[in-house]
Amino acid sequence: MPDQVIVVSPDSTGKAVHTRQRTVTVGGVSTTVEEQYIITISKRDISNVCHATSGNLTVQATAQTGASGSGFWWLYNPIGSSVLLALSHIRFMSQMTAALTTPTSPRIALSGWSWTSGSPAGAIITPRQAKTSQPAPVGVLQSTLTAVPTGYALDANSFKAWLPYASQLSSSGGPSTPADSSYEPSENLQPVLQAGQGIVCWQRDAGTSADSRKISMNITWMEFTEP
Amino acid sequence: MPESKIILPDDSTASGSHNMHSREQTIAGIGTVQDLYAIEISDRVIHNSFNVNIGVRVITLAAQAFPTCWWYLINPIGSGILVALEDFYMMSQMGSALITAASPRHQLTAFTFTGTATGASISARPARSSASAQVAKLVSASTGLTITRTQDIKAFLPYASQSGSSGGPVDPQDTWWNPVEVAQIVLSPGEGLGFFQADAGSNSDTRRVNCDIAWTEFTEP
Repeated sequence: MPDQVIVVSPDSTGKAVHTRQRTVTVGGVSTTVEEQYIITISKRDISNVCHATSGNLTVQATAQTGASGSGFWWLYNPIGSSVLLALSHIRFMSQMTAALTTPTSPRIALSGWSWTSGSPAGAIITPRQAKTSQPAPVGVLQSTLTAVPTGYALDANSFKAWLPYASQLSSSGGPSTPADSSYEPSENLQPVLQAGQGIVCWQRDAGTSADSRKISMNITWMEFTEP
Repeated sequence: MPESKIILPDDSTASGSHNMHSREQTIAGIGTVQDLYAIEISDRVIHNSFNVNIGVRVITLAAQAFPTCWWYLINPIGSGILVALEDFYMMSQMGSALITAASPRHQLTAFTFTGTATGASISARPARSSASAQVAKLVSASTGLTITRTQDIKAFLPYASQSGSSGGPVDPQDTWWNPVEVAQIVLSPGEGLGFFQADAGSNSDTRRVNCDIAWTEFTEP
């Protein structure tokens, strides 16, 4: 549906504003008023919304570095891209896969990174677009980083971190619900990636020897331009 | 209340003027202003919405091999509408005192299809029984469909236990996903979603998974 305009007096071409009529009391007088229907929209011109799931991830005995391919997944906006990427939703879940003593709580963190040239090659996770009629995704989500691009620079601090399921016993600890956390910031708080910027998910702290704890993450990002 | 419209000046074919509903307040430095009352509506032309508890499924030792799924939501070919998954809810809990130290993902996966679904239907409750009849199909078997997997969208982990005798009470795993409208998965005709156990469970698994979904059927103006 193309955008429309309402031309008001004195150029009016006769558009009608959609309203609902009610009777309210104004200044003690019963008055018939009109209340306008509105469709709220984003300031962003959204071209795509992409959903993906990480697959099975396993907590590592040794901490990762977030650099040189040491991480769980990478989301980035390619150099030369004309859109912006906003990380709009992540669900983090973690649970046991065996009866195992795992009394460590490594942070599973999100950090920003950037690069200056080259391609961040690796295994791509293909997202499902909210609507398959939307343009092809520009952002790239990878489960590995096999070729670290030139000028790869990792932010000193992470902007988000979760803690996984843990157990201090391997046989008598009983039942457990998984770690389950949803990160869904409001639009103005969402991390936005410009061309040449990315987000890496990595394990900042050491886990347990022979760790087998599972992590599963659902990732949603939006692609948009700004008017 | 009846809906109405305002004919703007110079267009007027209506009899008399209308009052826009507002609230008056005074702001320092600006003066007295009017705040307009408004009613937020969707960009979609909504035909109807549907809610359903799929039921309970017991986790199995073996993973389900897609396209085998617990349930399928499809938008039939030629339907003329779009289908948006508005709400997804999964709960899981023990079915008995049992060691269940495996954490099989329960996965929502997108697919395209050809054919006509003839598998057993799962009845949904329309939000309004007086609105449009259901067009999307929710079935428990893919009979009649030739399915092509496209993307894995979401995965969720269930309750687990490393002991079959100790540990006492525990709340169920409880996950709710209800994205904003622009982020909802929309199914065009010939597209569907399947929900299945993607990884192996435990021996003699008895864990129960409960699932509710809601979808909206609409067209775009």
